[in-house]
Amino acid sequence: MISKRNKIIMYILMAVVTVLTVFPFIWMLIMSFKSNADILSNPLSMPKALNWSNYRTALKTLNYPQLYLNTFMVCVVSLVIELVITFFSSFALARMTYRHPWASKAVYGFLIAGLSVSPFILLFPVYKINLFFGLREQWALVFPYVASSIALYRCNTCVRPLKPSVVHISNRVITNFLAKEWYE
Amino acid sequence: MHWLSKTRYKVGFLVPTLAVYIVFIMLPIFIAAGYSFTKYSGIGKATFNGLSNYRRLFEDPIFWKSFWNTAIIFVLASVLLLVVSFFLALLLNNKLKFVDFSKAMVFSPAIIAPIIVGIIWVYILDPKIGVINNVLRAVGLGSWAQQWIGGPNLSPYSIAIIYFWQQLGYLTTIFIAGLKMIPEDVIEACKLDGVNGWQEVWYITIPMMRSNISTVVVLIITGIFKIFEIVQQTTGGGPNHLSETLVTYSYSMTFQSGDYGYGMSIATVTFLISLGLTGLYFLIFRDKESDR
Repeated sequence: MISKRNKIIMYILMAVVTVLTVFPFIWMLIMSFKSNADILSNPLSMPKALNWSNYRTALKTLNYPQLYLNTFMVCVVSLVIELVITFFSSFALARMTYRHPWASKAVYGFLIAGLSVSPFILLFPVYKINLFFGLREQWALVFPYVASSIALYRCNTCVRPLKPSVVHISNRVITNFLAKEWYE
Repeated sequence: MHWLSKTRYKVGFLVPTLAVYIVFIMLPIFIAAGYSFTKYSGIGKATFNGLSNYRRLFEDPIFWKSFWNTAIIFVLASVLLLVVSFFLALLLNNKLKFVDFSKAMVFSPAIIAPIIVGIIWVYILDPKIGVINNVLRAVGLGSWAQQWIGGPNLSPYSIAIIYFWQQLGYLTTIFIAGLKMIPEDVIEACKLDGVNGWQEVWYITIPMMRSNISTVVVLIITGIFKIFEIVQQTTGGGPNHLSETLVTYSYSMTFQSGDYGYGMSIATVTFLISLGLTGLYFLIFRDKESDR
């Protein structure tokens, strides 16, 4: 059992880490109630009252329902497409038998090489490709996002050690996927 | 699983992923490499000019500054992330009250959009209106107030700290999951043998978590090259491109200066560097992979 002294140290550490991690959010919240002049002149002062004018301006300026709808649509479409294609290819790579054992490793290696690519350096070429295929609106966002090696890497580490039971595989992978997709 | 492995199933299952991957990752790399040998302003035609973009790149002091900035971020962020997330996982794996709340709070920075991360940290690190400098001045330690962002020197360190804040919870969660998979009997056996805390960590926990550590290192290495919005938001590339990273410099040259050919050559070099790093890691640690 953990000694009382160690337990106290652990609680303190946990509290410190949590506070340090959450502090930026809380500071943001506090700042959102101050006016521009306040922020520039007295950065450290607490807001005098719950000043909702910033929120009112934001709601007026941006079309929030449309923005949320766009985000939601892209998220759902990407999630479904990515779940399906990554699960199928992980299954093909990890569980199916091949005549040449190097075949699955070669394909896997090829796909994993994409892990090291940063999407931002490819912005211009992807733009050209989107133009070429005539992809507009959400589809222009969905497809580049779906071409993600990280998904394949995580899925593979899940699928490979599982026993060949289709039910088990699909349950584990889908849960892992929903977690990964939600947090990405 | 042999009955399921007819060739047409294998091909059918793999084709969608391969198609999307080739079109949106492989093809753009070749297009970028292709443009890197040209001079292109975004409109009109691209004129071929051979290796002059690369020659310019090697003599460009801003390119080397961005290279060093990226290197600083890489070393600082990876060491901090690897060590702190591991020990934080050890800490949060115990049964303490509010530990689940703590886990959720520590994880939360990973799920907010990176642009928002950038905006939030501007209000903390800004030399004039940020919290840190103002608190230091308020307690009389004004001489310690630095130009955390927007200055010529400290920006990469600040970016590394911001990235560390963002990814800590995510990696800690992976380690916690790995810690939970260490079988109970191993832990009990070593308690019976009288192993103390540090020995248990060094000889038992770390070796049993090899595949998790490997996953986390890969995620860190690949993640460093994806830092973009944070830099754009906090410094916009810094006073006169002094705090650019490789990725943001490529973006700046391509879209802001309209020098697409040069921007693509920086992108190609960045890609080769990141490919080399990931490849190096996989080569060195191949036998520590999960089931190979």
